[in-house]
Amino acid sequence: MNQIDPSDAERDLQEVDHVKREAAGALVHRRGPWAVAGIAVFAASVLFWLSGPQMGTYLSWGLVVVAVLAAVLNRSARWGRLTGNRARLTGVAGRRRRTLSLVVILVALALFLSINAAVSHLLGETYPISGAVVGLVLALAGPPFAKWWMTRPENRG
Amino acid sequence: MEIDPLLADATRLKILALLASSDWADFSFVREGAGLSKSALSKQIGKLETHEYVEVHKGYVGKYPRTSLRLTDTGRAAIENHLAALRRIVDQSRDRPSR
Repeated sequence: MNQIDPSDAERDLQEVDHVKREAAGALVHRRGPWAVAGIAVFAASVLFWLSGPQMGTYLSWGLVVVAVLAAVLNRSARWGRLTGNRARLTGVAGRRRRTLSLVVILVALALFLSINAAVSHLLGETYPISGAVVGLVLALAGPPFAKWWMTRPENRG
Repeated sequence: MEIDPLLADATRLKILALLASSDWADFSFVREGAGLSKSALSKQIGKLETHEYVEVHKGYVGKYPRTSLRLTDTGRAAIENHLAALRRIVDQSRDRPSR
């Protein structure tokens, strides 16, 4: 039964581990999607600013609906691609990935709100500065942060 | 727990490992992950599909073709058994006293 050499067996196991890790990483730290997310946040903040507070409320609710719809579509093998998703990871990598999405949303929101409050305090009005900052942070810091996040704690530098 | 002859091939093992870590995966995602060409992956997927290790869903989103892959229960059991057998071989070789 054991026609496989132990060194070949060990190599195969390492290869499987490597492929899984690389694949999980490829899903989250590609620059393209992070740059698109950064530009989208900036564009949304400009739109909010131009449309005024009343329209801004409608837009916020519209975006919440879009986000919920995207989260549902994301689970589907058929429609997941529309949201930029190329695979739905399971196990530890899947849990890490879903937690990453939640953490990014919360951090971006906290950053946005605090900068927005500071800008309106200093300049007397809200400008799309907070959107630009959050967009830049997402586009530049997203990929390295995602890479760090998906690495097992014992392998983090 | 025995070595699966179909998974003794490193390429097929990689493909199944990628699918085992996901609920479903896009054809292009598996192709990039396994470092294969389209035709090479199609060929391997064909073999895995024949053994009912993999399910292939072909469809369209708008006018764009979409192929997604999913591991079947048979495929999941096969890779789990195969990896367990590999681990046992490695463990046994470590336990064995060196000559």
